[in-house]
Amino acid sequence: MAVLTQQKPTTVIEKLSDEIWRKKFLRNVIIPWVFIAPLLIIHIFVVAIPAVQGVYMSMTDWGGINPNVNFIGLDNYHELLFEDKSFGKSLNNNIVWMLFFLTVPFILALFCASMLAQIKRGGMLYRSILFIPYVLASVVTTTIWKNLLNPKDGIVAASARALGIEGFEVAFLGRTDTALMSIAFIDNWHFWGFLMILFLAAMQAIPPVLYDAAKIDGANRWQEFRHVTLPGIRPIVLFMFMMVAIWSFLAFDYIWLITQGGPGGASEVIATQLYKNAFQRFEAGYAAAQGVVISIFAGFIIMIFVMLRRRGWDI
Amino acid sequence: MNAHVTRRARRNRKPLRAYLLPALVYCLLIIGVLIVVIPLMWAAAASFTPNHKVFEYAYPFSWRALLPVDFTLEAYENIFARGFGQSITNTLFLAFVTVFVGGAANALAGFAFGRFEFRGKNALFMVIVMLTFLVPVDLTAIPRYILINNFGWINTWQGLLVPGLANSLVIFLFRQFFAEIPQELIDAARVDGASWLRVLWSIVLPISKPVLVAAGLLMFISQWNSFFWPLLVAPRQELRVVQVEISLAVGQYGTIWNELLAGSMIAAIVPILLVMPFQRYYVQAITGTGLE
Repeated sequence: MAVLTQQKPTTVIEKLSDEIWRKKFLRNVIIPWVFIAPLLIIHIFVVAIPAVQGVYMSMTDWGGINPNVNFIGLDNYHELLFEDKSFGKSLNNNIVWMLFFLTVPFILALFCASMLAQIKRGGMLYRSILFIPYVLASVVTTTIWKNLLNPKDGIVAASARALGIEGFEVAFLGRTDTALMSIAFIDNWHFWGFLMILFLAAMQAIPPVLYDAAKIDGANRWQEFRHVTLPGIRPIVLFMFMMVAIWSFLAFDYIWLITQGGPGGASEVIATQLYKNAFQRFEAGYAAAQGVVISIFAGFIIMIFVMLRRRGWDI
Repeated sequence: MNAHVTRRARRNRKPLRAYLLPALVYCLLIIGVLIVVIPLMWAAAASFTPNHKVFEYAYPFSWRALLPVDFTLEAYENIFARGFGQSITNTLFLAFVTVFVGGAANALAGFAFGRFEFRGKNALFMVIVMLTFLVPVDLTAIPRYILINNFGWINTWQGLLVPGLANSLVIFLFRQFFAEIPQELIDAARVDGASWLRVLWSIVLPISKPVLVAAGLLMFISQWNSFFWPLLVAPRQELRVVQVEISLAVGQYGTIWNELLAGSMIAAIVPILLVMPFQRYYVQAITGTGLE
């Protein structure tokens, strides 16, 4: 009702009011839905229906191909959370992954952005170059890095040896203790520039007056960063914290393209397990349950942020 | 004498620091740039090198590894002879259709969300955006695959295209931008009797260049880089996209590094050339959504 009262029909003649009502109906109901319709139809078929079906599938023992489907309630979840030991291991890797991405790229990006913000000459060139890896496809990035990390004649091992540094002639991607971190390193090589550009844009939006005021108060560079820059870019940093935390639970493409979760499950995460269950082991129902669990984790993270915001955090 | 020395030191310190700090900053930035550029230079150089020489200068490492000293187009000729050109045309076609058709659908929806008041608007918007953020692609991929299969769309253009059309980030961008357009502009056109579609087309879109560029870039690059969905839904040779073509080459011709890298270079150069000149819009758009 409230939506219909944008203009007051006080001076309108009785006869016209019917037509006006029709126009309002057109403006407030028909036209908006006509505008949204194309997108909504696509969205319903591409996301909404599959999501609902996915949740239903997670409560069945369906394999993925055969038409034989039995409703088994929460059995898949029970197995996943209480019996499947590999799930705990994958979840653990997801959390390691998250801790890596909540620290390393953020520190790099903050550091680099605050340096770039001071630069007057060539800043744009640096920015552009550091942003390049972000627009590369995962297939391209992983192809190049698998090569560079080749223990025998990859550039990393070769240049480390040329510089006299030992310990780099290692099959980083083929060892259980280094695989996950090496993939995280490669993914980060691709990702951190994006973060840096976002932070830099936010830093440049801080009014210069604030820096002048800080200088007059005799602040040193660190104090300037701490009391002017950081508060200024806080919203975007916190927002990216949330997004990165969510993405960490969805992490898939780099891991799949480089090791497929190997060696020996060392880089297995929930999403790679899901993919294997769905498309290789044909346990679609079980895979769907894993997908729902990922969504719940992601939803949980969003909830935390919404709650912090309600508590008065300026996010 | 002590006082004298300190005074001198103090006088000298300032110019020294004034040079030192920027120098340090530039040094660190150059290291950062090298970490980005060296892998790419090596890959580019290797793609122009005969396959048996790809690793020749890497070990022991010398600057020659970063320049195509034994220049040859052999790798590029080979991949094009094997049909790489087809996958480029396919991907370009898909990307352009996504930008225009998907762009239209997203812009219309963004306009409705930004300018109209209607029942259930905010709830609908939240559901659309949240669903795409929360639900992992793999979860929806299986039922979506089944759905597409039921439509008979496996190995068709529609199957490849349709899932990439709706893009929450792009709706977000449009909504944000359209909501900020002054009401007077729109009212003036409405008084003149223009339909809403006309208002969008001839009043709103002409002043929305930044958001159009950003949305176009986002959709183009995400389609150009898309990999798992095409791999799943259109394995047929004639419908291969660039990323799938490269990834399959890893399996089939795993040892032919120069060809693999030549394909990667072509896959890399397109988004790089697109983003460089328009980076400003891209960043503005994304920071805009991030701060909402």
